[in-house]
Amino acid sequence: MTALQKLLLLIWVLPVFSFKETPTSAIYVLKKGQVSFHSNAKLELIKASSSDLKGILDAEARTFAFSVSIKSFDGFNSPLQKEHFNENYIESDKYANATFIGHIIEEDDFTKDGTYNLRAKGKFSVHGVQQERILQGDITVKNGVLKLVCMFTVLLSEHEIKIPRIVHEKLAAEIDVTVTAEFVKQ
Amino acid sequence: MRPTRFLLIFLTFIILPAGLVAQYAFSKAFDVEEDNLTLKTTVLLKDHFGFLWIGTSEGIFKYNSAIPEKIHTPENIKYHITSLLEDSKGTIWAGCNNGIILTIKDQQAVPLKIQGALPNEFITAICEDGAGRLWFATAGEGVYCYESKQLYNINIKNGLSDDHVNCLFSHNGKQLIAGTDRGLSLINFEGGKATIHVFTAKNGLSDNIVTCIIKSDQKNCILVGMQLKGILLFGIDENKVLDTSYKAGWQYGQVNDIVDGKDNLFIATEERGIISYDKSSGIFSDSIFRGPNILKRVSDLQYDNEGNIWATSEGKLVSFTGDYLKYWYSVKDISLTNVHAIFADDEMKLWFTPDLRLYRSLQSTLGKENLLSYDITTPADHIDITSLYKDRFGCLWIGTMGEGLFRMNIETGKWRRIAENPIAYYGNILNIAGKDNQVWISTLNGVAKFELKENNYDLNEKIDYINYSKKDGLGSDYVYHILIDKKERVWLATDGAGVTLFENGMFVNFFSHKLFPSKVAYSLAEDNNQHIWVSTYNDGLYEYDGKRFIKYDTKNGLTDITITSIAVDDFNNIIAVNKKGIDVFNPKKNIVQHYGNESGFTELQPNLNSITKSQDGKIWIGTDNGIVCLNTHATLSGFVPVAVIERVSLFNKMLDTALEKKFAYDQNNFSFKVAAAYYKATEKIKFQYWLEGYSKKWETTGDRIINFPQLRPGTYTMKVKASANDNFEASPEVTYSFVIARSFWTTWWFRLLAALVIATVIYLLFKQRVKMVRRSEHAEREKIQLLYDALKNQVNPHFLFNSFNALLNIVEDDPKEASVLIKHLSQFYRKMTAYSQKELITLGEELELLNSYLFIQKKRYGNALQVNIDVDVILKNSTLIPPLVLQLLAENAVKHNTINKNSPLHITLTSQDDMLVMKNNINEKMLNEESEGVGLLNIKKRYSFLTKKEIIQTQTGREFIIKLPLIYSI
Repeated sequence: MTALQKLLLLIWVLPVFSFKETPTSAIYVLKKGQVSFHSNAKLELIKASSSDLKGILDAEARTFAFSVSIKSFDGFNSPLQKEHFNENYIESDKYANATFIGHIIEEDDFTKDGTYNLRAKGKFSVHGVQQERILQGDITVKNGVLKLVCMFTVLLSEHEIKIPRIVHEKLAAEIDVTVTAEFVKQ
Repeated sequence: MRPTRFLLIFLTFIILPAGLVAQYAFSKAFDVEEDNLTLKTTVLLKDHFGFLWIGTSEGIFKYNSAIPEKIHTPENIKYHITSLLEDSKGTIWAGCNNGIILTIKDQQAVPLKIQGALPNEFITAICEDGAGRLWFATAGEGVYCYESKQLYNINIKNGLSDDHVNCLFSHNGKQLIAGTDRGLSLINFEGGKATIHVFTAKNGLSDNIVTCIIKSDQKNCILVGMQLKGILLFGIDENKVLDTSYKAGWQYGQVNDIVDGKDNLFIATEERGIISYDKSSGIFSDSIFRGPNILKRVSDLQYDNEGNIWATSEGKLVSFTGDYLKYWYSVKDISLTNVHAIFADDEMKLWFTPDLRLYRSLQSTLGKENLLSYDITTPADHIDITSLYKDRFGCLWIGTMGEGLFRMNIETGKWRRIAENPIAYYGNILNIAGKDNQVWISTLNGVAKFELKENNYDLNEKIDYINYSKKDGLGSDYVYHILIDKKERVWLATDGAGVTLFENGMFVNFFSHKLFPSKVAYSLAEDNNQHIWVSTYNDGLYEYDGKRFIKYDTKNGLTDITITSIAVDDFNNIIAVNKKGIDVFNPKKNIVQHYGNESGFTELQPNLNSITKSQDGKIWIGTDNGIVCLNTHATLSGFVPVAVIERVSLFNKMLDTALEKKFAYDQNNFSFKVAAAYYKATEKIKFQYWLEGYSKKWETTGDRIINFPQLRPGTYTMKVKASANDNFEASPEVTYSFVIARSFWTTWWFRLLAALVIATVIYLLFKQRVKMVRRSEHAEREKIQLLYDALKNQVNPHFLFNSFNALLNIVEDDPKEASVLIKHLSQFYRKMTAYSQKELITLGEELELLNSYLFIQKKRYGNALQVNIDVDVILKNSTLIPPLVLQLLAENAVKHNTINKNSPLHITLTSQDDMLVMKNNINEKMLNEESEGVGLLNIKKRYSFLTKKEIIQTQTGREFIIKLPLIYSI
């Protein structure tokens, strides 16, 4: 938890301290990003997205941290669905953020333009339950700007997200998540 | 805490419609439960006894194949176990998801406590190197090296490729190889300093995330499992990837673990269950279990000593028969039912006949590749093929029921019905065997010997033959099996006449010669010693050693005595197939390994002589419900359960059997917990034990705890054996010797010592007592002396008084006489003074004294005093008397009686028996003088000190008698 807290803290305080970084540092900060998810349930499609994504990436140490506020998700089919999502499933009052903190496996050089398929291994936390995940994504580097596209699935059972029996049919056990983000060098 | 329950739940296998899956291994699945909670199994370990250790999300269990035993922790803290290791000293180590390292001692897991920083992250792997150092891999902190109670951290700063380390491998004990999230780190560690060589994707590694490393059978090579790219072969010396051919066909996602089997690599994957990789054909197979996608995430694999492979999968514990026993219930779209004939040819191909059809496939990946179908008749008009044989021209002979005999060109598939021989033509062919130019067939109408000639290369050329029947000496025309042995003799197994041998053109029937007792012989096989083995209907197995038949049956551990087919494997084991399963009988060791229900051989219904041995030593068996392949190369040959004394308890307290071997006399309540790893069928395990020194023979028990509540002092050896089929002959013994000392009081030295001590004490007590008695005696004497002296002093005044009285009388009458008297008196007095110093004087001396006294008194009384002393002269010197006693008595007599001429006083002194008797007549004075009774009393007192005998005093009317006991001078 300490490592996680440290990194999370880093996200918030980074703008203040970033000036003190050495010139050679390779810290990238998320400029804009979006997280969206959807589930193809039999009866009801659940989808939502949030632009309240925070992130930081150290190209040197090859570590990163992402965080998104659960309550910032919007675009549900109905206000009721949003309410259920926040209150019943994710319990956003208790578990405000979803985070992914880890390191990048591949050794590609982000100073060079190009598109890289990468794996990131880290601790993915939703609903207060942490899972070690290896996620794949593509990073496109152009003129010092890193564009990330990553798609993955979240198993509700892995995060102890319990679904009431009545809506069992409506909600798939697997949720597809798509993350897009744009990083600029600090 | 309630006892841990271990539920064995067979996964419900869904029998699929044919066509979806090919090869199936038999498997079992278990839930590990504690207090009704199913625990998540995580990692597995096999210890040096062959016992499995199961790491779970809640702690560690030791599974001795009978009961999983929870390894307790201090204060029952729960640990999520992520790695396990047994070091070279036999200590079990465990790593946890929170960085804690546990060691197991005395059935308890205790966290490692050392100076310095301990890991905080998930321990992913533990490894021991050749120097006895332990290495711990962490997810995020690099590796830790544990050496002489010091923990060194080696991480990215020291040159490690990544701090996320997934696996460890000790290469030749010198080099440690860590698989990380960024390639391999090859670590040399000396003098607390690590030299690290890194090999990553930049150097040519297929995938940076290395998930597992195992030893390769190629020298100095490792097999590396990866997150995305399957497995590869890495040459350590060459420092490069040698073979990425595995990668080519890899589509199964993340590799979690690999075990190297005989024929296959078994690969545990994150999403696709267990993948088998056939080493000979290079083909991956993802469906080794029966049923669709039974396993998804498989995290750890472990071999047991029986050849079973264990896996942890999503919390469950799964075991399967690995390479040693395989089942095919179907291949491609063909259901493998009613396989009446099976034949492994010389090209590693297997021929088999499910449901009246004939197929050929590659043995290694049955049904996967090269599956060919052959039609003998029209596809609609199938025939029941009972026997197959490939002749020297490469043609296949096909025997059928009712349709006769066919010969087929394998290349072209063309065939010809052998019509030239009447017993083959539309006959019932039971078996075909051959060697070089000879091909023998057996039918229900006798046997035929075909002789191949060079022109028989042509399928259409007729073949010469000779037929033999009962009248030629077959014994019976029903011949089930033919064996041509290494000496070119032909053996026939008949129904009705047992075994018949054809040698030098002659038939010998052993049954009719009463050399073979069984009427029905089913199957024949020749072992490496050129002994012939015969299986029978309901009469077990026979071995012919050249002279006679030796019988083997259930007493030898065979499970059934009706054996439908036999074969001999590469280890000279007899493979005997019966309806309960397969017995692997090792005649040399006299042990039987059985594969029955517990190995998945349920209701398979083996077919008569549907058995074949392939060139690589595998035994293939055709049954009504599939094909079974037994590979005795993949099991420990001659495996027998090995008994282990798991725990010795003394008064329920566990002993360290390595150190504690001597006990005191009262340490006598022993309890032995025994176990034997036999995961296949643990319920069949029985133990034999013999406590030497206590009993005289082996005892058989199904119990796993053997108690001896009150052992007498002595020397004992506990011997334990285990067996799965009541045949303990080949079972190795495990022993534990101990001594219960005699209680110290039963030892000879103690007894001797005790005797000495007792003797000394008695002696001292005696001495003390004597001393005391003497002292008290002395005191008594002194007292007596005092008293005595006093008494004696009393005497003197009396006598003086009386003497003076007498003198007074004489002085008046005769002064001259008086002077004489005075002279006597002084003499008397001198004597008396002399004697009175003594305690005792002789009777003679006393009599002299008495005479002196009486002389004085006679002077006073004249004839009125008459004295008569008649004492035995001998007594005068031999007896003693207190001085003055007689004088005193005489004095009393004089004193108390009237003495005159008219009434004289007669005093007589005689010795009578042991008494001295003094009598005097009584002439009582009218007026008695003073001091009466004092004298007599004194005498009595004096006597009472000297002797126990009493003075007897009697007084009649006329006589006063006193009897004094004689005191003999010794």
